[in-house]
Amino acid sequence: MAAVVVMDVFKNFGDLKALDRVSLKIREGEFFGLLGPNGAGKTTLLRILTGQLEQDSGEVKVLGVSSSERLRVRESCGIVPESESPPSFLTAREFLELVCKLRGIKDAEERIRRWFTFFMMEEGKDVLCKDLSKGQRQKLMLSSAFIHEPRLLFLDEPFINLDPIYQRKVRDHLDSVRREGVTVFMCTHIMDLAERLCERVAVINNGRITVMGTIDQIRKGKGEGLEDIFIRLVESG
Amino acid sequence: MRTFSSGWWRVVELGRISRDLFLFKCMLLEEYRLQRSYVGSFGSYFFPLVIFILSFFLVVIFPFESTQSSSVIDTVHLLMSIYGLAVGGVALMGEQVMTRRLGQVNLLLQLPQVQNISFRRTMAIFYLKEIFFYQLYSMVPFGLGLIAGGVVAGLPLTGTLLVSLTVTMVFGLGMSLSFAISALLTRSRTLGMLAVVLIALSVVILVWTDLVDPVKLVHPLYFHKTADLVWILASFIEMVILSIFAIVVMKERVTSPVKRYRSSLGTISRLLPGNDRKKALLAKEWLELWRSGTLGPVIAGFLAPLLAIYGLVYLLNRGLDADIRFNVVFFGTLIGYFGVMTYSWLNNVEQNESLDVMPVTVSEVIATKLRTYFLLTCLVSTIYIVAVGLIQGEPILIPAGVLVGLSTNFYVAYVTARLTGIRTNTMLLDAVTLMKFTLLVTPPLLVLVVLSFYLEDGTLWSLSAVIIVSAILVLAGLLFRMGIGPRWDGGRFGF
Repeated sequence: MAAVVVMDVFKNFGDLKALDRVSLKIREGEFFGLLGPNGAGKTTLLRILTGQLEQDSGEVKVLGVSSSERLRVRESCGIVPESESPPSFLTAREFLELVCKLRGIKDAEERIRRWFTFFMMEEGKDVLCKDLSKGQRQKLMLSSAFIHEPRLLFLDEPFINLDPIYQRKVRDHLDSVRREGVTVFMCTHIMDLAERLCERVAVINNGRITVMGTIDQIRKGKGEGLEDIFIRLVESG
Repeated sequence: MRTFSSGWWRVVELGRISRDLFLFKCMLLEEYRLQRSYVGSFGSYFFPLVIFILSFFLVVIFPFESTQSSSVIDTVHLLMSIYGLAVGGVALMGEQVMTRRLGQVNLLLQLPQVQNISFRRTMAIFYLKEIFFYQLYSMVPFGLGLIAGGVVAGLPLTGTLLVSLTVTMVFGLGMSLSFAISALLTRSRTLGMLAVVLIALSVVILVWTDLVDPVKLVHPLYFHKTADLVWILASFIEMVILSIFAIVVMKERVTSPVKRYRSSLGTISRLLPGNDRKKALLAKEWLELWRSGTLGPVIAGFLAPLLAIYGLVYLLNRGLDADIRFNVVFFGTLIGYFGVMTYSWLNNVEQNESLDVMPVTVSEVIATKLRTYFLLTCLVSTIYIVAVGLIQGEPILIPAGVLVGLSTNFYVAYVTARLTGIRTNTMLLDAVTLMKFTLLVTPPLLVLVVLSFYLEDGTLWSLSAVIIVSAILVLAGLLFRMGIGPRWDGGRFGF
């Protein structure tokens, strides 16, 4: 069964064509990377997939549910948005408590402890989110997306603001959940990480998917790195 | 390279005028685009027209030369000063912008974080932009409406021109006072609150002891009564002094100390009614109100206009010996009106952008805001009504006053929530929304105001009518409540 199905999706913001007939299918348990330059339409597509934005036309299904049923989509997914923005006046710990209450998680204590340990955030757990560093806020957003152990993860630049140690930890975690059958949809600029993690990638430019396939298919045996391919594809329009 | 990092006097340094003018222009554009992005081109273009129409009809319905002209003029001045107070607290906004993220919106006010311009200077330009914007967007159309309405009502042009001028001045005074207090609050919360209490106490003592004619305290209004130019000059000087004071007092480096808090979400949740989700959202709301330091100002902001109106009516009753007596039921009708500002404030404490990725709908958050709003305002407004009823010697009217207070509060809150969702202050700048709000709220409240005058006779029909209208308002409120989900559930929390 496909975890994500996108069929002929169009999205305009006034005169700006953000998505132009985008179609893709992601199978369950797949690690999929969406690559593209700034303003290419990555975040717009991710917002449509997670019900934060409605497409002008076309069909989107997430785990068999139309993305217009936003509550059902968000219940079954973990989402890390483009910018880290936990509530300013809750502490880090309270934010995760809130997430657990909203998601009806029973063993909240245990899970919160687990993620604070994972990100070594014990020291900052009683600090208001507005006073946390960007990196800590990003760790908190990642924790809030992972805490209910969803079947599908939507991640928009998940490694942003993380130091190399936590980039590796998160990468290893994502790799392990993928092996357990979790589907991951990731937007990123970091070609190296995409190359290491993703089974399939698509490159989006000016709202259109210009290429999609496994890393090897995209290379076509030319031995080029993903970064070179990306730059070539984007520059050729 | 020279920077503007220290010394408030550098705010007036010459040689940077063209840069500042450019920044002023950019901020004006930013404000316009921000409004347009929230309410659309139509809404933002037609807002001044709606203000024009409202003030036009104000003069046509209540021509200033009628017997109640003085009370109408005084009330308009009072309301405009409250409007000025409400929009002038920009220093607190500046502090917020510098110390935390306000969703995805980034403002030019954040420039001092990365560019060679001081925070004081940026705030001064931002404040001037606010004055210019509000003058252009609301005071000028308001004045033009008064003048046009005056022509239709056959009033002399000089009279309406004078009211336009004094209303503009009183709005400016309210804005500059609010700016000064908000700047003081950013320097020290205690000092700021002390200033507010001192100002309020001084006014009450001066008026209570008959030391000063209360109209003399509002210089533009006194100018209107006396036509003595000294008072308009005094108003202008006060505005300038208050604005300069605000800029001098403002902290150049805005930082907030990092505090630690024991987790309280679970503890508070357990004390609240409802299921786990509702309890958690409500607990979040209260924690945000408390920790952002907004709880006190929100309650004060709800109570202050009610007290001000009571003060004004008290003076009118005493000074004018008018035929119409404003009883406790009349005060009940005002509660809903002033509650709008409180509801709007609750929506500005936090952007809730993070909820965009959670299984939560906008209507759930609106319901939480409304629960918080009712918890805050019902008790305060009931105490207010009972106190006014006792002071005025109308204990028999207190139950009717409480009923009217609660029903208008209920109705107006649901109308506001249905029309404006979680973006009340910006949605009310949309012409269509403002027009709908005015049409839905003003007629029933006017009916209750008129009925309140007949209650003095103690006739059964007037009491029955008040009860029936209140019941209709509650039912209508429930209808608007049902419309909140369909209207707002497709919306986002973030910008």
